[in-house]
Amino acid sequence: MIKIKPVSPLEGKRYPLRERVYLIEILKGMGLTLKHLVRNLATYPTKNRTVVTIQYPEEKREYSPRFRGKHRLKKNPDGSMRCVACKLCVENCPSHCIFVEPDAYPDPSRGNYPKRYEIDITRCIFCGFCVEACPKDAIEMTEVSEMGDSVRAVFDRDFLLADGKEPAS
Amino acid sequence: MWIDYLVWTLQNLLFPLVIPVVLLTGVILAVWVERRGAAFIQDRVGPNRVHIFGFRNAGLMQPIADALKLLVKEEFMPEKADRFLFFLAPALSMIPALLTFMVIPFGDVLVLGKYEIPLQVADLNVGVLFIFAIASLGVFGVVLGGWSPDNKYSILGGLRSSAQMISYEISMGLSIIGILIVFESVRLNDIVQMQGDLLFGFLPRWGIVVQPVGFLLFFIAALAETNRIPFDLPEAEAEIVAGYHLEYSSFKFSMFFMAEYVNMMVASGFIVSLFLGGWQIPWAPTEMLVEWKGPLVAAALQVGMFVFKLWFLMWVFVWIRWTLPRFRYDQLMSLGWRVMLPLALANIFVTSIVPFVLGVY
Amino acid sequence: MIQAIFFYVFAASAVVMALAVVSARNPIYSAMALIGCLLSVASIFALQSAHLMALLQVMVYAGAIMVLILFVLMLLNLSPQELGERRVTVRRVTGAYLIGAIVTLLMVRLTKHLWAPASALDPNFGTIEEVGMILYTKYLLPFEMVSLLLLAAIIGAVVLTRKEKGDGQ
Ligand code: SF4
Ligand code: SF4
Repeated sequence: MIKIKPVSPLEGKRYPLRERVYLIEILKGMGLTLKHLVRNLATYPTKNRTVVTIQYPEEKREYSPRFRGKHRLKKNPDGSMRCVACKLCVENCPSHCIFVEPDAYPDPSRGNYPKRYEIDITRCIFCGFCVEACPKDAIEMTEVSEMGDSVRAVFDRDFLLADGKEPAS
Repeated sequence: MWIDYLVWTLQNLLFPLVIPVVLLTGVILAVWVERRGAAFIQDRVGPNRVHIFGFRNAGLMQPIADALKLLVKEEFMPEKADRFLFFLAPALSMIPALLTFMVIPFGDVLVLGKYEIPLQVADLNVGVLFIFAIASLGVFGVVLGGWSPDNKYSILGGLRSSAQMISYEISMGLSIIGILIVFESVRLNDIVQMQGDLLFGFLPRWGIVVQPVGFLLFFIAALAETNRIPFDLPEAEAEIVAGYHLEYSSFKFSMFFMAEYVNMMVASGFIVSLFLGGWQIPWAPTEMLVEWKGPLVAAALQVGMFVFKLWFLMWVFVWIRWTLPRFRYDQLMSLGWRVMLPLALANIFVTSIVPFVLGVY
Repeated sequence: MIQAIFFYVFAASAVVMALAVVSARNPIYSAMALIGCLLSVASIFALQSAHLMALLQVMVYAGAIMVLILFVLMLLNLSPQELGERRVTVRRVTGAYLIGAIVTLLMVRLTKHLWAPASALDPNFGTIEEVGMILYTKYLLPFEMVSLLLLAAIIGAVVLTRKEKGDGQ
């Protein structure tokens, strides 16, 4: 049988009697929990509640402005897509969840545009690498965090274009 | 006379039938107290969303919804389980829990004219022992529940629980001998009756006053017997998943679950009767109440007092649960055998010696 | 009348349970049947107004000793193979025959007293006070001897399970 040496925070010294009796310490602990209970109950009906729960659908947590939520494809001021379908975001996405199918504008001077641009949101880990990789600053991440949906798991181009706030400049 | 039959029915049919229903309804309240109490202790809000027609009732609907959910859930039976014992175990843990409450008095004998209605189902002259005997059967439900599903975690839970219950039953039994010596009776109603006296003219002669050590030991043992934290090793979620009710689902699980809360209520009722004066309202004996507003009001007040005390203790159970962590197994055993048992024996010794020293006899 | 009915119900259940104890293949079932048997006998005690006896039977035998027996059975957890085949041996047949003979003899002997009028009991019969009185006066010596025996057993158990110094290292 292996003997395991007990390690106590007092390094071999015995606890003081007051702590070894337990009961006083237990009563202290119960006093602490009671204090929390009374405080929480007393402030519950008032404005400044001490309970930390956020009643989610009604109240919402404040997110940092740098929060990475649902993606959004930006537009140029003239309303055309900024994305040039260079697929750099596809290359950089660690979870391979972006699919881009490029197509050329009829006007050759305008280059390419994505005919299909899809993000499989169920695989996305919201790392933001796509945003970092984009040379055209065409994709950004909004503060939208509620993406639950029973029909849409893959966000297509038009959905990504439509949602969120307008581009800042 | 028809009123004779009425009284007889009340005593012999109504009480035995209604009290289990009251206890099981109490479970709902107990679950609510536990969940909301836990939440507020931990700076949370707790379940408050379930509602019927927008009628939320501070979350009281949650336990009802839980019960309904458990009723309609799928029954799962492990393939290798021993079918008969698997069915038997939840019943075996529920029946003793409901049975033990039958001897606990919840009010003084109600005297209406020539009729005397004891507010108690059965006034046994061995009431205290009855509770111990029946409560000791409750362990079989747990042991069989642990063994029958053929699951290693379950069996560990069953083994732990049988070892724990046997160890603490001894301290439990010994810790009330002091009370029995002081009140010289094992009939619960006598014990409660005598706790109405006053010591030194002002102090109610409650069990907790004359037997503080006995109360403490009994309370701790009761925590262990009802598998509550800090003694909930049989179901320790972190180590053995959920112990003996791991493989149980649906209604069978809820039987175990309800049995735990009914056991808590029985333990509270028992402690109240033995140590906290039962239905006695301090400084207000029955005669005084009867003189004041008549027998019915007096009985109602006493039952109310009993219920209040019972729920206060229930709250203490909950309060302790959300304050303390769980014991380790060796700590549990050494507390039971090396601390509680000698203390209980010493308590008996002192209790028997003191009256002689003080010359009471 | 109603007492007689209950008596026969419990007596029958005690006999059936006792048969189940010896005939059940699975030791756990045997133990459960033994518990049922003990409870039936306890009920008969209670019917004979020996309440204390009944409760002690339940508390000590059904509640404590049987838990230990179950505990051991669960630890062993014998499989059907280990339990072996159900065999009929000469010894078993002889034993069954002897028991049957004794039971028959007892029945013949006892039926003579079956219709004897019930003697009225003292209202104190079977109460703790009464039993205690008898134990500490009339049967003081046997009682103390039994307690000595139990003490010796306890000490024996402690000595047997105590580890010698240097053991199990
Ligand atoms: S956030 Fe990360 S995982 Fe999601 S699409 Fe962009 S690169 Fe891929
Ligand atoms: S979003 Fe940016 S990186 Fe991705 S294809 Fe379009 S332009 Fe390229």
